[in-house]
Amino acid sequence: MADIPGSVSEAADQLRAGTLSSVELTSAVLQRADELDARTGTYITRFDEHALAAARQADRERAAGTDKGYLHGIPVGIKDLLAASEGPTTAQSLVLDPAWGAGKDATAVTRLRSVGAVITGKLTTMEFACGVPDPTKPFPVPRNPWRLDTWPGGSSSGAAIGVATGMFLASIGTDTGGSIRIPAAFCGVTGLMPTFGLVSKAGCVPASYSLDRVGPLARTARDCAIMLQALAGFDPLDPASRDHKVPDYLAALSGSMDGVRIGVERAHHFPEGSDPAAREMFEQALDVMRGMGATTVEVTLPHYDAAIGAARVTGGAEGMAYHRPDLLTRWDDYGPGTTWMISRGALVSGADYVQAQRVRRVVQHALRELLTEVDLIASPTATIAAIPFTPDGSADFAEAFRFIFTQYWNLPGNPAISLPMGFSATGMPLSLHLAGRPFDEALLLRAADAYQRATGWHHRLPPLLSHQPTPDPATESAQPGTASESATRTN
Amino acid sequence: MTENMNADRTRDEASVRAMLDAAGLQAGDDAVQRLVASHANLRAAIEAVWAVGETRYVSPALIFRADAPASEW
Repeated sequence: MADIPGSVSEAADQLRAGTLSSVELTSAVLQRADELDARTGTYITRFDEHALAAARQADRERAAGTDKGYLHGIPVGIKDLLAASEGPTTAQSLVLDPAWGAGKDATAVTRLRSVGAVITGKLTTMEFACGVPDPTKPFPVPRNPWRLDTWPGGSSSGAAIGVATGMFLASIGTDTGGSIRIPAAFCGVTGLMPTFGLVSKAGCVPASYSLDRVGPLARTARDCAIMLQALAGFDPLDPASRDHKVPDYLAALSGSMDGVRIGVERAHHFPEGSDPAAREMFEQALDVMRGMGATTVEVTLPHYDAAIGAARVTGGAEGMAYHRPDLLTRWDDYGPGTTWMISRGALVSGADYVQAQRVRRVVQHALRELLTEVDLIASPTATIAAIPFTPDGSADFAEAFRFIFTQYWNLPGNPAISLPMGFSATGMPLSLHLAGRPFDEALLLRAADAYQRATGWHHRLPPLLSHQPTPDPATESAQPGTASESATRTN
Repeated sequence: MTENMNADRTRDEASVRAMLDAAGLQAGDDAVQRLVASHANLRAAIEAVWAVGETRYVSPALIFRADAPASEW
């Protein structure tokens, strides 16, 4: 396989140095997609010709002395929930009207183009970001590149798979209950859910109006900072957008954790049945951060069960409001997992919904208090690795979500990031979760970047890329980090 | 114990069917049974939001602006 730079930052350095052109880079990632997409189910639609045209344009601009920044000439994939002018948006569903968003760009896509990013195509998700992989529908079933018989996490599945395998160097996902952070965790990449209102949702198919976020996935926290710098900022087309001063995220990446106070949440995060390696890797991650100057203190997230309940009530009611017209007339065109998820919204009352918004306010107040005592809150993203598909192409998602801890943070609006912290005994990625204060992504990214400067987990690559056999649980060493020892910073 | 579980399930099924009907949704039996099977969890979620005493005099996080934007995306 052709060498592809291991991160946006590395590729940008090579582009600026003139040792790599955007056309060469884009051709290489498209070739990687030729080799791996059919096996991994990453793309719904590829924009090869448009991408190469954008790459040629970037090379011409650079040759003329124009440098639009780190993303100039960098291949980026887009979850197929956001509109891009090159082709239709499907939300991985037969139901969405193909005319929706036709010929238009979501604001997030517009902003990426404005800094010279090369849009490579639209990526797999779960139907409307809330269903389950459904092999009966005419869309690819996304598969985990670390082990193709496991779920890559969702719903920003293709966005994580493609970063992990070098089909693009960064991507845009959405997160309503963990849909950026879960696939990032299961595929061994970094995923950032920004503060509610920081990144525009205009031109994004909603899953839940008040829980959804648009955010980046990439190899590193530094790359996520680069992406966020392009994406963040007020948008009058998004009613939830906040006119908040956008700081220089890259300038905040000092490499230091001196003075950072980290609250460690364990109370709700290690249920019986958790993978023992998750606890071990989490403790090691805390040791690393303490070794870099952070202090840790045990905390308990306030109103945990109520917050999860409120997120479910909110997501159900808002999703139902969006989908009801189509559910009335096109029930069978949805997958059964999707109708189950959405129609639960018919089972909550208007008063339940309003009460959930009062819980949201209480949780916000309590977190504001807690986040005066600590700066960040650390937990595992999940205490299991990717779950296996069942023979019918599904998986036990209800059971899996007992061990996934992302949903709490969608309710109050805080930002959170998921980043690799090691491997399970079977060689599957495990992930650290850090959450912070609203609009304080600078600190969140600083801590995540510092952690990654001291660790190498985020540079490990799936065996798929080194032609090694996929890990066999019967023979794999129990030592963490054994997967793909040949992996390097080059994809 | 079993009788109570059966009674709960019967009550859940009646509730689910009534609420789907009220919403105008024509769900098949398979879909109804999946919703019934998970209804206890949903009820627990709803009960959890009503169990937070601190909400009593708190305004809900329902925000809108009087100066609505002139256009949608």
